[in-house]
Amino acid sequence: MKTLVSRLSVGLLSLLMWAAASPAALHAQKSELPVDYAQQLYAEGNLLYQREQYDEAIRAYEQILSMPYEAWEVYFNLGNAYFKTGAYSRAILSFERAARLDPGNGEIEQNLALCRSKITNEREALPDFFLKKTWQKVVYFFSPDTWAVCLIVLAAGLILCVSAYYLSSRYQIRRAAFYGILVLLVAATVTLLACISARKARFKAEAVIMVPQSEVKTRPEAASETQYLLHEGNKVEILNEIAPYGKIRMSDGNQGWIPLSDMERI
Amino acid sequence: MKRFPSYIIGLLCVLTGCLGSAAAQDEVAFSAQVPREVYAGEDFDVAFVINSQGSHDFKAPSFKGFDILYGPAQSQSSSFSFINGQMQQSFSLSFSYRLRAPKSAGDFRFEAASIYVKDKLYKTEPLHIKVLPARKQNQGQGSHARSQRSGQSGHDPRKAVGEISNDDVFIRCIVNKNNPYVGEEVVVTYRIYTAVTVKQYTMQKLPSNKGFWSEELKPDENEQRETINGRPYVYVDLRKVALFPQESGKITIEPLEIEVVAAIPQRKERERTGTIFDFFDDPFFNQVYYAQATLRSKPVVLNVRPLPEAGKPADFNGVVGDYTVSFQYDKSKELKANEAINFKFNVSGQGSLELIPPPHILFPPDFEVYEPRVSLQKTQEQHVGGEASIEYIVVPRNAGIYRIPAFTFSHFDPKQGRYKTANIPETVLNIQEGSGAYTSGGGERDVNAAAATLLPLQTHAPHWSFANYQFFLSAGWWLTLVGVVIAAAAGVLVYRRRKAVLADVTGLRNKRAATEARRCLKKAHLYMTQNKKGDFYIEISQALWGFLSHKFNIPVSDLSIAHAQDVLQGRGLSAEVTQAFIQTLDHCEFERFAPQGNSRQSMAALYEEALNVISSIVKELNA
Repeated sequence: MKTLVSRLSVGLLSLLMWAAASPAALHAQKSELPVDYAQQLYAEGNLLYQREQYDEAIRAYEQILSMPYEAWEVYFNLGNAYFKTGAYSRAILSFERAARLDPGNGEIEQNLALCRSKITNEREALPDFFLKKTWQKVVYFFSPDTWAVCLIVLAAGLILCVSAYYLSSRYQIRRAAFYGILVLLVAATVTLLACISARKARFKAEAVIMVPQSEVKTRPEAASETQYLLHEGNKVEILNEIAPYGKIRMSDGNQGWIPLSDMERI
Repeated sequence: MKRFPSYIIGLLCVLTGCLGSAAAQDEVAFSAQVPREVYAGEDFDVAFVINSQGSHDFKAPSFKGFDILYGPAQSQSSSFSFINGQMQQSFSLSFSYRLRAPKSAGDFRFEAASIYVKDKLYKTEPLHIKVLPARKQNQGQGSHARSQRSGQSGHDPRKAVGEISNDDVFIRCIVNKNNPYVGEEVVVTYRIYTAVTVKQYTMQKLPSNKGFWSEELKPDENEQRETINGRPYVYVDLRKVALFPQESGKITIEPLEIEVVAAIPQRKERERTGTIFDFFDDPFFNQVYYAQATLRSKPVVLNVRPLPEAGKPADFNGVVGDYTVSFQYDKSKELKANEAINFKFNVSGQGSLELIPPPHILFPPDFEVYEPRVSLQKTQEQHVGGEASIEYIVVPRNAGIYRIPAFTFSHFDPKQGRYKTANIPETVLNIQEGSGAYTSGGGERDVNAAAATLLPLQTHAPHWSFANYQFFLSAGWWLTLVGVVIAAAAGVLVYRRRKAVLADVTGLRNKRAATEARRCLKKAHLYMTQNKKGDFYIEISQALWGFLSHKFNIPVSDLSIAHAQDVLQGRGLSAEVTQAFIQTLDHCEFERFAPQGNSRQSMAALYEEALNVISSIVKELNA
């Protein structure tokens, strides 16, 4: 009996270690190029940027992103380089991608706002509901990965508390365990919602207009009438796709169809 | 006849009249009014008349060989009239042409003109015009003299016969230089010289000036006098144009064409008769005739020189002219962040100001720069020139000291035939802290956000992750979750079991009893070989009593031989085993306290006995 338990725990422990180390393990399997190479390219890009060779810097950063790695810092620097060359819509796309990886980062927000000031924003954005804003602040408090770890820790804590509650014969322990269960349940619910929000925000179908002007049509047909005109650099949400058109929602809440080739997904 | 009532006759008359007018209405007439004979080189009128409304698709003959001076001109007339109580309606639509006959005589035939009326085709007779030899030989080659109506004169124009010779009136195209540089101004003056009285003139054709940038200049309208070949002329400038050739090579200035009506004295038409009528031939009484002529200046060919390659500055971009430049801004005002500053780049001098491209000024990157605005103040009298003011509106976003680097503006001065470069020195701007955000008039840009500057690069080592990887809901996350949950559950289970085992002390002792006894016996065996009698018996006794105590959960204080016998029998052990155990205990006690005989042999026997009895009890209990 004794030996079985010890064997099981050893097995679990190793499984846990593997799970924790899984990104690294996947690294080794997935990519032909080591992460060091990406690091090297990143340093190279930064050097080129500082020498004001923006086009070369862009090439270096883009090369990193053609590999299976990404980091918000790379997108941020790429956005800066595009900004310097005057390609504002590309810069916006890069900063938006950086913000996807590190939501709520103030530096990204500031550069993004600067880029937006350079383009024609003809659409007034709808103001966010204040609860939504507060919730967003909560979600941005931790990184999405930290939230995911929190959820696991809370789940483990919950199991321990439940066990203590049912198994302990001492009154104090049972009482503490009961309150523990309540607190942990609330915390786990919040954490789960935060995880879901973060995931939604991360993989939301949004795009940036990449052509100087895009005609927003009422129907997904070339012959259909043009409702609005969207300028380069504006962000839209993709609601539906019927190739070669995509149904989009603009920042002011209006919807329409534009060719998918006019925009690039964030 | 007399019997016929008069009203019947009246009725008949009205009826026939109506029928007649109805018939006239139906009858469509389409006719050509063409002179049968014309003189060579003379102008004449041709008209096609239709008397019905609703006509369309008029097609005229080609008039090949004749010049169409104007036409077709449409005119229509309609009239209603009542004559003797009868309504008469007439309508006519005419297409008229003015033609000029060819210079040579001959018979000309043309196809008929055609027209549709209510989808029915009507045709005139085929035309036949006979051109007679010219009435008089023209003296000048270039002038087509011909009698002409003149509105101002009271004379019957058809009687006015006269001609204008090349010497009487002509135009000259005067160019101030023949071999300009590309982009250099060439002043072209069209001047009319006349020795006769010109009543009126109209410009027929303005030159198109292909290959030039052209600007109208104000001509000198005063009449001046000049004697050419001994003949006095009056001249006046008709038109003055400044041309800027846009390419090198030979470029032709196209001729100007004007039509003049001149008053000319009658030539000796009549023979002097020697009578009193000669008096009327005196110039005083001489009738003045008006003649029309088309004058054409001679085309002028300019040999346009390309700009010299030698000494061409690097920043030269095609500006030709004699200019002075300045670059300034309003220095009286304090410069503040988020407030617009107007920079003016002024170019003044002679040349085509419109063609000056705004120079590219390197404002600091932090400045918001709007598209330059160009305003021109031109003078167009003797030469084209003036002042071009190129205005740059910039908005500095932040306070600080900024520099607009020095720049150059190069142009080619055609008068001196060399390039000139104006150096604009560096401008240093001290921008003060501004109040609030700048609100631009355009309103399209979110300027509040623009007050920020681009934040610098991230230089720290990035936190790499996989493309499109998120820990939450990934395989790793699920595994970790399941692992942690299982670990927690397993931890709880292990803890529970351990606690339960600890709580079951009796069971533990029971399990330990045989082991403990074996340990003691082992020790006893050791003492036996060492011949330590005392220790040997203590260990054997310990083994037996310990086994009893552990196995049957008897406190050490209660151990006695009588009690042992009860317990052993109570546990259902056989009488022999119980007896053997008691005997062994007795034997041990006896040997321990009253030793006798061969101690070695008795020790070995006792050891065997104890070993056997313990194993037999274990065997029986497990059975």
